Amino acid sequence: MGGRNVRRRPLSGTSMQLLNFDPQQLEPGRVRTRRIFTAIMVLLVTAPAVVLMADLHLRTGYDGWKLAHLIVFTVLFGLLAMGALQALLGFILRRQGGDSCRIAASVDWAADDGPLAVRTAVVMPICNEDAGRVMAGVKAIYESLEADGRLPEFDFFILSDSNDPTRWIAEEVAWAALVQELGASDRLFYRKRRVNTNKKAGNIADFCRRWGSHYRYMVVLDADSIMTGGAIVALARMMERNPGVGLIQAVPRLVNGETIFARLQQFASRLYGPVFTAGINYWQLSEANYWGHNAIIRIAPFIKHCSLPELPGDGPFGGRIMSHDYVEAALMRRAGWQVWLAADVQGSFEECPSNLIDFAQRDRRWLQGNLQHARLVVAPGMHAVSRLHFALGILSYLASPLWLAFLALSTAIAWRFKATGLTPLPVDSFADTVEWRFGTEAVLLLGLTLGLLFLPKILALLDLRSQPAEVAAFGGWSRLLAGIFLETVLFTLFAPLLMLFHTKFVVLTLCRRSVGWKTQRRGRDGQSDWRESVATHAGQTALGLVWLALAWWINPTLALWMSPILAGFVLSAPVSYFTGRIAPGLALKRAKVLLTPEESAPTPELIRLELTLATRADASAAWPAVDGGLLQAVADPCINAIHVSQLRTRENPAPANELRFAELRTRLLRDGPVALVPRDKLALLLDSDSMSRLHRDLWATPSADLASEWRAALDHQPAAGNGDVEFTDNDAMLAVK
Amino acid sequence: MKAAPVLSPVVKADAAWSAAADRIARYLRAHRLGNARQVSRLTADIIAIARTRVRPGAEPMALAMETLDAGMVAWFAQVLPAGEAGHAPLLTRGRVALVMGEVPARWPGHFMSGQTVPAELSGFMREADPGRAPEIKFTNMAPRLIAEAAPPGSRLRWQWSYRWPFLRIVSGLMMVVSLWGAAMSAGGR
Repeated sequence: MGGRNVRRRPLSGTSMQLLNFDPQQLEPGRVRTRRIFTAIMVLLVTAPAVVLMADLHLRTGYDGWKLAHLIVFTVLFGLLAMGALQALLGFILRRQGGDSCRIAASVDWAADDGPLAVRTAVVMPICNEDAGRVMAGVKAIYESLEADGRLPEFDFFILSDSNDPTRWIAEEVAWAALVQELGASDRLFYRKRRVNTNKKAGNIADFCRRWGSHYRYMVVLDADSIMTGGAIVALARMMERNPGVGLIQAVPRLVNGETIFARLQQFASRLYGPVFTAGINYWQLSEANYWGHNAIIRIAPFIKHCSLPELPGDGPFGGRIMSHDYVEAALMRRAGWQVWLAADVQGSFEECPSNLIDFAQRDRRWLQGNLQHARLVVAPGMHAVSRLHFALGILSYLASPLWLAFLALSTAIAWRFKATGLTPLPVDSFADTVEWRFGTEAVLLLGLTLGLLFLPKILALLDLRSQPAEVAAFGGWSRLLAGIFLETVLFTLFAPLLMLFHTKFVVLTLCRRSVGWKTQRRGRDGQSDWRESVATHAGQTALGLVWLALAWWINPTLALWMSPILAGFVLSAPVSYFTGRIAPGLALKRAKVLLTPEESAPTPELIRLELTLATRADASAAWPAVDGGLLQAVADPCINAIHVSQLRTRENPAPANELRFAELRTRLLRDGPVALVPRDKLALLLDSDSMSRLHRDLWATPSADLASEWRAALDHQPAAGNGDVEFTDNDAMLAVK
Repeated sequence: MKAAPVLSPVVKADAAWSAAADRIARYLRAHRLGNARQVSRLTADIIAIARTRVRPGAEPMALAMETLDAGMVAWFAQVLPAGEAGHAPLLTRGRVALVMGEVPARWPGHFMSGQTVPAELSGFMREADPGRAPEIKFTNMAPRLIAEAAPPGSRLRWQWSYRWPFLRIVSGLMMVVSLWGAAMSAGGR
């Protein structure tokens, strides 16, 4: 892993400068060597453990149960070894000053600081999100680019797929207010799609079809993404420097967590992430993956090669491709465009689910999307590493049912062992030269497993040893170690629960039970709730108690061995509830436990976001809870105008449609929004003529002829105040107070 | 203390006209017009004009709103660029400019006042627009079957050079496991 590919080129002037890595010159042999080396390392770690496990079984005689146990163990241990070795490789590379083969090394950052040659689109697809949070994020990014003097090189697109009318109208109002605040009418655009074909991938594709030809690159964000201007410019510059690169994925750091669960995730990803991502880049190189956001994409090849078809058949394995990002990266790579992971780009952030249940719900979508990739592993023309990405994605979720099977098999083997009354033979082993006893081998195996589990943590700490400022940003050594201890304990409790969730989701998916898309709950909305926690985890608790009793009955030692896992089951409801609450999370934050550098020294963008969120006035909060968006879009002249201004005017409408819309409008005003089904309400909201007419008709209709919701909506508008017009009773004349 | 009536001529009003006046006042205030006197004056003017337009079957409230719409369109036509065809687009555009330009707050008293519109106000309203995305230039992005072969000219294909290393890795894995086991087993004999 040297710098063989680092070459020198003359720069202007007399100096020679260490020249940059050129991805196009990456030698295939070198890439192959790295991958084979990684695979052999995984093998060298996995093989001894497999042999030890095989030997343990050999002592008491093989049967089908033990064979199955060994096979499952091999897969699980291989995955564990792969993760740990990636961390090890990343650690070594970082100790050497960073990988020479990384996309950021392709740019001479000191010399290349001029304006970008082309404009780049920053696109944020959203669907039924909190409009205030979305606009606060856009504002932070916009102002960051503005502060860097880079604003003229970027346009912003908020691409809405919201089908909840209230969310949609709130988005329009918040967007118009943001445009007004930033003076960004020529740079910050909002588009609501009429039909949400193909969800997020279709949303981006729709942007590409309409405006893709205006731009060479697009930076794709998620609704909760934050990127600094510097990070966005860095991505664009790397693209400019490397015309053969189709996509660069920045690594988003998790931020803004308030609950213990969210802060645990951001602490762990922040602490262990750097060594992992450096290790991932070591073997992925130009065949990296796309994570769906915080990435820059070359639009022309994306349009040409990455339009996703529906897979044959119905869900869950057919139909729309749910996890589009992996597939888009694979298609881009198949067409010959490189895909890189920019592990060292700073200033890329996202948020994470606040509690375990929301996390699991998000995983259910991802799980189904990944299982769907099973059909693409053997798709023609894909690069071998793209196939590996698909396979690893599938395995990352299949690992859960495999782990459950492993535990069940362990219990069954122990039970059969007890039933037969056999004892381990002291030397009957194919490792008899070593003369290890049964217990010694078992402890060795446990040690190896724990060693791999803890290796990334140890490496991350060693990596930090040379960065005192970073250690201080984590709260200092003592708090850092306290955080690692807490994170280890709690993730030990979470892991078996996620195993159960994933297993259930895999079974449901295999039973062809599709999942819908659910907007992620954020902030206080994302706090856990007692009833939800108990209802969700009741089955897991019961399973844990039964399993614990069974293990104890079979052999108390087995119960002891399994106790960390069974404790997760038994304590699931209180642990899930407590870690999903904001108050304990903030208390730990005040104590500087689980502190991350982004919390101790947030970037100006994160500070700006927090300030905006703290001071924002959420106009939609005062709207009626039911049909508030529709009521406001019709009743409020300003909101109505903003809404209508964003709709396409129908040309030559069909008479039948006109009649239908007229009938819907009449019913809406006379009988109220409850009289219409959601589809009809959306149809009216999408029709500019109807929205203008509704507004005019509402205000021109006497209150007695309006449904109560409309009377309330009109009453909600500012009433005549001091000094306003009124008719006095005695003279019935229009007068002014 | 009552101010002098500003309406001329003073009109008698029944309940329907009273409700219409209330509705007009609310509507104006809903446009963020905070100046009460201005709202009163406009309301009175509009009601007065609407009462001259009474026609059989027309509700006073509808007549008043019609009158207000016509007045707003006329005023917006003064301050906004031509080219927005039709009634509704100009009303829409004008209302958007009114709120985006914060006209009622910045130029209180000017909205529909009949005074000459200050050039600055006009310029501000013309600029005040949330904007529309750049002109749409459609590009074909038709979904293609995944099973299609790699596109012509692609720089990377499913080549033997890429297939073999992985087969080698798999066979290598099996070989090392076998060797390891064999060594441990054979060593003791």
